[in-house]
Amino acid sequence: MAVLLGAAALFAAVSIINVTYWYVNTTAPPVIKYVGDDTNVMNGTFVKADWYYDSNTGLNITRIYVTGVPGDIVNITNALRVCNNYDVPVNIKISDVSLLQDYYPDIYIRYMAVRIVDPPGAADNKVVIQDEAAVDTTTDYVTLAPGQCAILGVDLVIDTNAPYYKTLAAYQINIEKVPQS
Amino acid sequence: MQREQVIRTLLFFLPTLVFIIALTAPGGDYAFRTGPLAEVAAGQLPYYVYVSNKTLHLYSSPYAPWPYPKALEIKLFYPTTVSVSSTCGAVAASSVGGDPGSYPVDVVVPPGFQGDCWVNFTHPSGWRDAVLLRVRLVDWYPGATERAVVTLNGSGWQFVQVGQDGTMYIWERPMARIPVAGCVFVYNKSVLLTETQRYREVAPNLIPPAVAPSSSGSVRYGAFIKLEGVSQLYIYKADCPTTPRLNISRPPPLRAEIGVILPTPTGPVFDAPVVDNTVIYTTGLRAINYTEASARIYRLYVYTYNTPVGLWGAVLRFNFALTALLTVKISLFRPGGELQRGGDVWIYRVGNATYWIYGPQPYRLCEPPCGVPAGWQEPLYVVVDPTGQWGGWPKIVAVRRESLQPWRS
Repeated sequence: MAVLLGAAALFAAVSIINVTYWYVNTTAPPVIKYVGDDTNVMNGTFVKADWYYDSNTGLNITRIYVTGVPGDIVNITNALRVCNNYDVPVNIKISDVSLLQDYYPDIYIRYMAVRIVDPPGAADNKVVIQDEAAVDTTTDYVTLAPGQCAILGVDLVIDTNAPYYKTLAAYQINIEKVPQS
Repeated sequence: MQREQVIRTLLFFLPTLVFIIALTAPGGDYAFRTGPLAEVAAGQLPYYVYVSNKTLHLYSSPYAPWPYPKALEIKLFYPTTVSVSSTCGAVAASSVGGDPGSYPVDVVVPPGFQGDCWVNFTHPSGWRDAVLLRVRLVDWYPGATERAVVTLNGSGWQFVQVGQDGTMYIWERPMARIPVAGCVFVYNKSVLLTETQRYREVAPNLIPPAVAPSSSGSVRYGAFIKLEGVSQLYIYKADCPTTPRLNISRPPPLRAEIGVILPTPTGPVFDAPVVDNTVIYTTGLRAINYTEASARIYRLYVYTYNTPVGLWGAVLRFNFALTALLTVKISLFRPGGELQRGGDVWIYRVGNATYWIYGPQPYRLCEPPCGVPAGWQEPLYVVVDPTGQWGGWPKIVAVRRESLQPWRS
């Protein structure tokens, strides 16, 4: 009898289903990217940006073109603005740097750094690409007050043997955004 | 002998004689019964047999003997055996009987027979009885009560499968739902060789499910047909006919560029799959190679299969992780050559072989970069035609259900 009771207890079950329904909504992104002031220099010769829609994944991808001068050091101090779109503080950082496309076998991009120029204060405020490979792929967080914009700049050293008017490489640089409560 | 002795002798001897006869007779005390030796009547018959008195209206088939198990029943009232014979070879037993009681008699109508056929029951005592079988030849697989009639339009060899849930697959691609699922395929007046293969879900709770050949799971029945225009395929719910073992070579390796280009700090890498495990399944008609492979950001479930008709096929299913990566190349399957679009399929031509693919775009270069796919991708169904005779997946023009009715009522 004990075995039978044990078997009955094994198969007996009470389940209670709580019905829920989930609305899937949307909201504005925590930050909005704007072209920096340097896009006005020579009509965007040194930096310009746009975005496109990837229909296969549904992603909105921001595309930024930065242009160096072979043999010279180029500092672009206001390439991109990243503005807090929320009414709460938002922490941002550059979280990842990857080389996606290299159009030439020669190493022409000798140095490239993307810096958080403003707000200042981050101990590590830049990501670094050395000889086309990313060697520092993340920055520290900076906090943006509601409505405040971070300014990102770019430093470039292109090998003097690089061809003119060509695209040398493409990097994926992710910006991580963390809204604060 | 005095009269008294005669009477005493008769009173003693005659009952003793009767008693001895009753003990020693083959039928025991049945030797003193009167009445018929046996009765013959219709037995257990399917609904499509019409019975009138001792006349049975049966069907015969051109494909195989049509069995009517226990179609007749003989009720013996004596412990004896009765000879059984038929004028058309419909009864296998030559005699039936034993102790008194009911005995079923199986009837099997030979293939292609049509007309009247007598089943005769005889006994040495002179007793006899007979049942008339009126048989009509019908284009129907014996024993089945219903069939699915599928009208197809296409060309070349087609590999048709039917799942137990009624899903019809052509070259592994689900194409239709049919009302009758079974293992007997009749096409162009012939019963086809069939295979039985089980499929299981490779990941639980997916909609639609991701399935792959397995040694367990739900059964699909498969057969090959050669289409030339519009024709009809009949599928019967019946046991599989015996299939001789064909000599089928192992499935060819899947030589193709498979993977995506991923960015890394030091440069782009091609994320190609690495095989984790492989299992070979051999059916009556095909050899199937099922492989699971993994890469950095996806897992690939793929099976290839060889066939005896010169074509081979594959099914690929990708499960990508959700990532924030961009890519410039997504190659789900690229054996070489230029990718072309032909109707709802993708086509590669590599040498003499044509690769037909149904599913998501198998190869894409992204300029500008695009996002890496996320989650389970729709399956890619691949058919490789080195013969140049295949015309693509056929169109299913119509599906209907037919059931067998008595030919006289």
